[in-house]
Amino acid sequence: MSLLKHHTDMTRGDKYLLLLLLSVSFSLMFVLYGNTTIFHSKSRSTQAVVTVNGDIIRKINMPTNSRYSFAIEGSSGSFRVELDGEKIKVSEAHCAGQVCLNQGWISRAGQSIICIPEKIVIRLEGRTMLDAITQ
Amino acid sequence: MRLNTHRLVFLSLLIALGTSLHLVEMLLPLPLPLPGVKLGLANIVTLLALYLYGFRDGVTVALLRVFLGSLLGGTFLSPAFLLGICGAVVSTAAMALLLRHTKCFSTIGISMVGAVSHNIGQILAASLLLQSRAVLYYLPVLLLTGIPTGVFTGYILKSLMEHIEKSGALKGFTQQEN
Repeated sequence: MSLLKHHTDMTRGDKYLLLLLLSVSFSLMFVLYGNTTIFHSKSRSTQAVVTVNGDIIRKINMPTNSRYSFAIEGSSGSFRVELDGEKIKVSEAHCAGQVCLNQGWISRAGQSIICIPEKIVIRLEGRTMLDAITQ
Repeated sequence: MRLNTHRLVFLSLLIALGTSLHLVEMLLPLPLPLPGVKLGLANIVTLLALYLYGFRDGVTVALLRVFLGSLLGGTFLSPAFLLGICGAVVSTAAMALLLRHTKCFSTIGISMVGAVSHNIGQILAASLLLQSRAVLYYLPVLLLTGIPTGVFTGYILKSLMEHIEKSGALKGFTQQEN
């Protein structure tokens, strides 16, 4: 009869269609949601900003391709700052408390390593989960 | 003459069915807090009308079912009504296109396309209505939920069509595809 001359079981064309729709929706998800923090397990940092005494002496785009380090001159000696991919840390310091050394690696946007006597601030800027906190 | 009366009666039946399905869907709550996700049961009726009578009657059934359904359900001329009209038109057009010009898709595939295009039509209408692009962020979710609901309604229509054939209930009602 006229109704059953149409396919009613799932055809191969249907399966291709299903695959097409699934891939379209998944790629749409990447396009639309890819830059939001929902997709990142931690807050990505985009830049490491190093300031001494309030002046920005260095801005490094994160994440870096390779592991490298540079030196900062402080009043008690030189500091070595090391970067590796998404992480940054102070690897050599001659200050009194060595707080900056003890902090180790930081990798998330908003984190910072601060040496108060030397007035060195290494801060990771980027997209964070919270934009501002009122107090 | 005979065919016209039969066609009128059956189309009216389909519209009534579609309306009641529309109303039933309004009452069905979802386990997830996803607005706009529906089972799309009324698409069964639209697709059946397309199969039996072609594009013009299919669109008539679709539009009238949104009309009557929203009238009876209290959403007449509301935003949901406008979204429903838009979704129904896009969905019917997409299903009719596939039906008319291709032979390789089954009921299930066409129903799936109908559900997905219904959602796409609704989102486009919503973004026009709200003059905002933010609504489009909801598109992947609706696409992904539209696929299983479309397949589900496709299977329902498949068994419905097979049952109709077997019982011979519509011997005088179907017309040749034109």
